Amino acid sequence: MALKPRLEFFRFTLRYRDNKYKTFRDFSQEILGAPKTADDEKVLEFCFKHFLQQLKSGIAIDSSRKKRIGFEKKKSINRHFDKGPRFDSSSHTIFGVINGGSFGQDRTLTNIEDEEDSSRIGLNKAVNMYFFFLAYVPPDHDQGLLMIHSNGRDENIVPMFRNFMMKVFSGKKFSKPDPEDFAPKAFQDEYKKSAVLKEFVFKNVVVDDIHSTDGIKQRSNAYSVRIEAKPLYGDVRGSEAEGVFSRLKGYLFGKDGDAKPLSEFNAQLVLEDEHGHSQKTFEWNAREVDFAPVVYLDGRVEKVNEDGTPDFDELRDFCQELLKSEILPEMRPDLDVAKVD
Amino acid sequence: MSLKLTKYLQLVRRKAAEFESIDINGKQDEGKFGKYVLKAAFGCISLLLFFFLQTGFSPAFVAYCASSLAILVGLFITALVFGFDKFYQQTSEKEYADAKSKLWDTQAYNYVKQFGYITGYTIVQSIFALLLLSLSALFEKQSQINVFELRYFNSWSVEVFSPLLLLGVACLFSAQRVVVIYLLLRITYQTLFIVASMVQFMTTKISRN
Repeated sequence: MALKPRLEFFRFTLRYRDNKYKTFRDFSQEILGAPKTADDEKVLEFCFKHFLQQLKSGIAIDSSRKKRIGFEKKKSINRHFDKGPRFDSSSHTIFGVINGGSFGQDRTLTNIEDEEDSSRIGLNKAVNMYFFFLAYVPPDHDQGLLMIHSNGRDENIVPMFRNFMMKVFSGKKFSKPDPEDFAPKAFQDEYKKSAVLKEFVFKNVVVDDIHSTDGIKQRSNAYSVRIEAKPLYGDVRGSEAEGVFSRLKGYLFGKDGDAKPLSEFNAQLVLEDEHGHSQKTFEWNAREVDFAPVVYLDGRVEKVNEDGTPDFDELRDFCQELLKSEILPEMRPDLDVAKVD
Repeated sequence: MSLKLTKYLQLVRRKAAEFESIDINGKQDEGKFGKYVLKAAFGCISLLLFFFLQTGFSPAFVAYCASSLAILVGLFITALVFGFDKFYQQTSEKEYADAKSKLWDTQAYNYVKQFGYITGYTIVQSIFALLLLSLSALFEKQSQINVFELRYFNSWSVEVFSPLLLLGVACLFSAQRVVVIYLLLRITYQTLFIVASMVQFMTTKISRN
């Protein structure tokens, strides 16, 4: 199956006992033993070393998901050894290509050119792929960001790696952070423009409000109503949904003299991405609230490796640029302002 | 001990000019509008009005301006005193705030400084305008001299002192008229900025809480 490389984003906030505000600098000092006078470079170095250490520990193996991650140190085996994990203190990032995959399945290994050349893969052996990640860990702040590359729904380590990173940034008085889905506003807007309107769903609960001897009340005093509106011919773009909604909301539902317009119903908007890969459902009133569409790398990273994975140097540059130009202005607006004396 | 008045006045003037071209994010406005165009436009309007106002300001206008400026000075001093307290509270917890709170804190800090300096400078300008207008009140007759009717007197005699004095008076009141109009335009512009930005700042602050 051809790979569909994509990028997923997560935001997480360090959680300290009693909800005290603690930065990544505090974390490196209190948990990792960084000196009090540590500069940004030193803080990042401590975080990076801690990350590498944890990559070799038990938390890099997820028995329930049957996945593991690590960094293959044999240059002869790891084709992207030179792109392995490293840190950059100027951008406050830890990034690189790691290896990860599933284990615990009884599988065999066969040479497709020579069927005699086959062997058994034991339950304790993992079949690994290459995955790129980038973690933003600002020493002066308590909120970080994770970007994880995956190769599609099946070929990914996203839930496992996300959980691993949350464990990396926990310990003693630091509880495990709760990651939240995130996508830069530019991608959200892009998705809305290109997505196709699948349907509108109007929901309401109707309560029988007329005294009668044999009304609905005898069976149920309330019932829910669900009205669906789907475009039949042609595609309607997500950005045109507003116009469609304003037309539909005037339609009435109910008895003569007691009809309710659909604008009084709870409205849901269902969008589907242009490739038909995924559907997103929004409450109409909260549709401007952030949501995280999947960001496919096709067309964003031009070069592709032999195995279908994106070129990791280009992906690294893409992620760094994305962080600098799109994510940080959104996530850290305070970096863009300065006090004037 | 002498009061360091000139130093303070120069500081207020310099800082007000600096903060006029800085936004609340601390970014320098590279546009030429505020820096040159507006000042040139006010200068041109002042000169134009000077040619129209041949006999200077009427006593009614002087009285009207004096009362308006006095009210403005009073209001601005009150706003200045309460503004610092209400608009910005510096606490040690600010450095432990999230990104948005840090942003709002910096914006509030910059705005309060901008508000303070521009309001302060507007008060200073109003006081100067009042002082200049008081010349019209003190020397009512002389201030209404029509400078465009003066003719060059080409003879040097013992009576030359009188025409020279007349020329001096004419120059003084011509300058007074131009400067007063210029100051009134600046004060109006700055007052509009102060009121509009203050309303925006306060309503946004309420929405954030």
